[in-house]
Amino acid sequence: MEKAVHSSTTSGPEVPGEATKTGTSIIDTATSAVQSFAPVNQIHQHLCAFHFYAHDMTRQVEAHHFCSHVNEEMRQCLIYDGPDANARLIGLEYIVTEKLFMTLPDEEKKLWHTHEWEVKGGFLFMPGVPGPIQRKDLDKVSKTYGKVFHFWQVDLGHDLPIGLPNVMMAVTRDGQLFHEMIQETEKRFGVSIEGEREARAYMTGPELGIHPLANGGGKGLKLELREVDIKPV
Amino acid sequence: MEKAVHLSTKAGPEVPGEPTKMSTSMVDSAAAAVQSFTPINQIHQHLCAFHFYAYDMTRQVEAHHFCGHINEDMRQCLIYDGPEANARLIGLEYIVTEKLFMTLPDDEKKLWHTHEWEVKGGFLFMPGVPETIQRQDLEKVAKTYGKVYHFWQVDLGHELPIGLPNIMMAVTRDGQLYPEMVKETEKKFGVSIEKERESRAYMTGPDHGIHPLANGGGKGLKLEVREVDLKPVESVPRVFV
Repeated sequence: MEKAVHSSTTSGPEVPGEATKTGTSIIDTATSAVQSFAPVNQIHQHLCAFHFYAHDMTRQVEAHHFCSHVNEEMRQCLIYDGPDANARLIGLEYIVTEKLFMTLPDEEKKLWHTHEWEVKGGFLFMPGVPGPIQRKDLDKVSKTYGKVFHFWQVDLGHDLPIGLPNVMMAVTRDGQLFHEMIQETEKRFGVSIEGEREARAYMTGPELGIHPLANGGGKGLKLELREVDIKPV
Repeated sequence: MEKAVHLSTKAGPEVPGEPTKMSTSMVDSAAAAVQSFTPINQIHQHLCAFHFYAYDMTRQVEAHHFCGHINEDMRQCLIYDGPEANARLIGLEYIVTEKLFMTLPDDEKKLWHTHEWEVKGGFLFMPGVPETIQRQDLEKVAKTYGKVYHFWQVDLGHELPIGLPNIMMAVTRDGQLYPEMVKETEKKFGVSIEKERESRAYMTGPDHGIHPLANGGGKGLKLEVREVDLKPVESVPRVFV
């Protein structure tokens, strides 16, 4: 199977359906005038990074994270396939400090991945934010663990979110991400991954080192569906 | 197992960890000042509804949806366990018109549920919005299908989002939701579900009726994880620029 890569909302097939009608927009405007979206207003950060499928590293996706802090040790992020208004919601990620990660049951740990290489390698960046400010936060991020699921296989050209969720992973060493995909992202956002890598050489990963059970515990992970008896009310 | 219900962010255990530091907030503000969050800005609607686990109807959760339109036929929603700033992100939902639903492969359809009863029954509402305005949109929602996953089992008191995603379903007839849970929600948001039900009697569900394969196709659905051989990057011929 040839490699599958998805770099941005503009490169995927259109979601079928009519464009949003004026009537619909008017109702939306009326409701948003009286409602508050407090949980969503907590989102303070846009991070761009790359994920691959936990069972197939040849499938790689550029992932735009919109994150907020639940508290100092935990963040919750929505993942879209681009930074534009028509971006598809393709996944989400939870990010925790090493301290919280260590409290997870062992069989849970494999669903989480480390961020050290993504950050130190320069592959994770905050579009539009000057290097020195980014690094103040990325310094912390490189010590964290993340749990990501994707629900819309945009890299396969799906025009709707079909299928089961996919556990996703992040890079843990050089040579894993497709060169041309990286170059395209660099161009689009005016960043230099090499340049950032040098600037981030001082950063360190988790204090206790990368936990051996994380990152799939070295195995591929895939979700399957089981039909069971439904427990009735 | 006794029933498990989760009504709001306050009712769950605190996420362990220190509160967000001032210096963290400052870096966040600095970043937020220069960045734009365009996909998030598309969110125009807050809907409150109830979900139960696709394999266990005794576990029910109040779900706060924050939705945006991708186009006239599709919405994408973030689901939090409450409407406040400290709400936990517990899931997400995709909502499509019957037209798009019918294009889905048959084995996909069971992962989706119908909204007809939720809407007509009055269980799905838009906090703070006058009923007459709500109904202009909800009459469309009544005809749609949704696909929901939850990732944080707040109804079990989990402090962190552990475990696999859970497929969730919505009510399809009366008597499925716990009355005391519904009453508490009514009180919290100052709504009357009975009254809404009367006002929404005119609404209709999908034009072709509820698809027999939807709503789990009548079965319980649960996800499992399998360890497999990881297909390495090297298996694809590399192209160097």
